[in-house]
Amino acid sequence: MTGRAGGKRTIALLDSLAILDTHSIFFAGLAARGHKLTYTLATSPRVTLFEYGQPLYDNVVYFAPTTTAFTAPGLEGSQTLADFVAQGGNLIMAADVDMSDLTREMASEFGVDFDKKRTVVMDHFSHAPALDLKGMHTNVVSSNLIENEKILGPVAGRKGGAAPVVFRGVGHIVDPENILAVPILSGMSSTYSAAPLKEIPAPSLASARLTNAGTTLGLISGVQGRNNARATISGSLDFFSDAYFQHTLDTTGQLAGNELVALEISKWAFGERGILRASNVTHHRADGSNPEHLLATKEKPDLPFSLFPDPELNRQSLVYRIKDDIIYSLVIEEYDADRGGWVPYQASDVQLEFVMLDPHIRTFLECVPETGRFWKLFKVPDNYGIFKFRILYRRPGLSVLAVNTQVSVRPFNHDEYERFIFSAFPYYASAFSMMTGFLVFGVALLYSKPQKGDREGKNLKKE
Amino acid sequence: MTPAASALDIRGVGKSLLAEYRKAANTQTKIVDLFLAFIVATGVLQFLYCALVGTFPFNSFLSGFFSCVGMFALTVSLRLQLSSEKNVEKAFGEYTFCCLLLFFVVFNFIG
Repeated sequence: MTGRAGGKRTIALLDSLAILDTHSIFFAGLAARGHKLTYTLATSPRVTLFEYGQPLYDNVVYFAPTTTAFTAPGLEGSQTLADFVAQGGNLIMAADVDMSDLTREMASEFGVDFDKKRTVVMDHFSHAPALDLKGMHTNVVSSNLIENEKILGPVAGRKGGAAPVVFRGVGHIVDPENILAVPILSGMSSTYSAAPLKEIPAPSLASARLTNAGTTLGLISGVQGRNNARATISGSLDFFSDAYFQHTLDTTGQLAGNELVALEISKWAFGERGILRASNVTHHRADGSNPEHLLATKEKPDLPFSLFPDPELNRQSLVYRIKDDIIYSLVIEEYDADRGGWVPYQASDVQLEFVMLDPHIRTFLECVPETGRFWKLFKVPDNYGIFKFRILYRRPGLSVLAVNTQVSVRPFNHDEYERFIFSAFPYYASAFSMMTGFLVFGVALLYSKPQKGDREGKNLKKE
Repeated sequence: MTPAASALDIRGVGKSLLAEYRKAANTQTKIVDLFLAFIVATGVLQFLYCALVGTFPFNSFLSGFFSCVGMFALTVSLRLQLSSEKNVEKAFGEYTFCCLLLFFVVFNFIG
């Protein structure tokens, strides 16, 4: 399975058209990368994501957190965006402090559980006072970005990384055992999520959940489905707004990293970076010969003509023999729009398994950097049966690469065993020594002269 | 007899056995006995090797060991026959025929 790369048909579902003005830099950034943007209200009766079962758009920007219900016939409540992503579409969704139940349900379809109603993310130590309207320190400044180059691009990493970003909205948690989800922006250690002006409830048996706080507090999370479609869910709509893009941080005097981070995230989120594809899967013996087909075609002139002479047998099955040396190779490419589309992928940790129910061989593939060719020479194990070459490559920020190729492995033919067994040489030697001993003994016995003092052989009554 | 005396006795018996052997046996018999000793040594060595290394090509072990055992039996019969038979060639001829049969079997079974 390979990911779908670089779709440019994008629709933005908005609460109100005023969002176009308040978030103009973000949309301009998308358009500058070639996205064909369509803007509609989420509550519009004419919105449709699918036509005749096919998706009309590749990406959805859902900036409509307060929409309570859809009116268009094609959109069905909280399953809408989940169905869209299940069909391979990408999604960026932004929630807000006053988000509707619909938004909450749609986010939980992806495993992102927003905090309770009327809670806000607050931080009394790391916040942006200039944007604060009521002095409640709800504009959190966080630098806890994931250090992943596929998601954040060249902006990732400590040195020369992005400036801290400003965030005002609702926090969420994602199950830590969820292998599909990736926390992109999390809170600082002093960040917490609570209802402002209300006392924070002490953890008790009644309230099973502790206050969501600290570095595990999710602010923006990305979820990559098993079809490699991506949904990025942010707890703040203001994160993407022009005011926050242009905000200067008080502590350092530099521009907040919102614009850079938001646009880099959108590159990952819309499949313009971090998509892998595999091609040109080949396998053959080390000496260059190809495996045989399972059954050679045999002429059967007495049978009537049929296009399917042996329907239960797979004549095309390729057969190796145990203890063969085989080379498996494939080409892996990565899609990166900034580097010009599909470029050869480089990594030293792509794992190959040779599997028959359990992996019999597990090894890393060797990488040839310029061509993106990954190959490995190994010896087929002593077990015979139906094997498959399996590559299941999951890394955070990259789409899942799953490649399976099936081959058969046969045992030795009766004439392919070693002729002389090394550990049996003493037995061969003893048999031959018996024979030479017999010869020497015979010569000695028949041609030795009787010596002085020999007793004469007992005389039989021959005379 | 006291035990010490019987121990001495055994050594004495062995010594007198060896002396009688040297005196009584003729060259022919000595040659056969040498060959017998060689066969026994080979057989024991093979058996030790199998005990150490394991019975992997079991057919090879059986065949090699059987070649020793079979030769031993045939050579002992030859020795018996020689002590009562004047015509050495006739005895040796029969011995050769049996040995060839033995080698045929051993070769086919040794793999």
